[in-house]
Amino acid sequence: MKYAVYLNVTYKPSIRDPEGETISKDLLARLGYSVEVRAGKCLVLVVDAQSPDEAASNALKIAKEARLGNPNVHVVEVLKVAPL
Amino acid sequence: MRIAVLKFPGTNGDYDVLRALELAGVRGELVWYRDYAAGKYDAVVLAGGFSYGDRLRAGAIAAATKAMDHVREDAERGVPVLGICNGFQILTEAGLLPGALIPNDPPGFISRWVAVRVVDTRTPFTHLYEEGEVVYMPIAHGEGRYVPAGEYKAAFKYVVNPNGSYDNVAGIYEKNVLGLMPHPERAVDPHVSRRGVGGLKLWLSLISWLKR
Repeated sequence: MKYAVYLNVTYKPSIRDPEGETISKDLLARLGYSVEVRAGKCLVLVVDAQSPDEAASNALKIAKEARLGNPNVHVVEVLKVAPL
Repeated sequence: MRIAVLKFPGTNGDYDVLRALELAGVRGELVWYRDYAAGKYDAVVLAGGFSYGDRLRAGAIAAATKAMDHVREDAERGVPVLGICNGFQILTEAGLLPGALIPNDPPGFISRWVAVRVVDTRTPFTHLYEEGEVVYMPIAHGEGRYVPAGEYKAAFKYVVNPNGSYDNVAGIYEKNVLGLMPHPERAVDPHVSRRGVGGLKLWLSLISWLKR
């Protein structure tokens, strides 16, 4: 069956994220919130699999092979897996 | 002497490179990425622009094309390869140069003239410069912050860091492959360049290298 795998491509903790910092400092702080923000890009891959776990591992394999994240600076993580 | 100027969908610096080569005394050849074949050219220039609309990440999609396999093959045979701006991003994404170019810090697109120091003159593209020479070139990028991954060799450094790049790095090289974020092809014509022709020696360097 088909699953939608939500991937987040975001920076490794060691890489500064000025987009997240700007949202935190120049938007949220102005509204009175002291909240740390990390920015990322969400990609939804629709894959065929027998189970949610298999769907997630298939999507991560594709992400690695296609370099959806740049391994020098990014981590790719599964946010959720939804059956379609 | 055959110098290819490689064009992907979204490349927009190609004609500036052709004009720079012309001012330096040679005629370059505009090559659509699907037509690029290894073994035909003496040098190749990956011009700047927004290949594939910067989808996913700047340079990431172009890096995965067959054209880049051919460029890699040429590079391994010693053909000088130059990547300017988006071309530099493509070279790092394709693994021809180490490290990564990520969104500027502070974030945003920068388009202005900067002072650039030539820190290594042992490359096909810099050997006519004096070591430590400072020249002016325009930059125009949103993803130019260099992040190293292990060893790298800087060829150009910003005098004042505009984008959060590691150690002021503006351009790096590996043997015959060089990438830089500033635009040497936009600093060649005294009629339209308001901060001099600091990019001209890069093109003259390449031509003299090929004539050796």
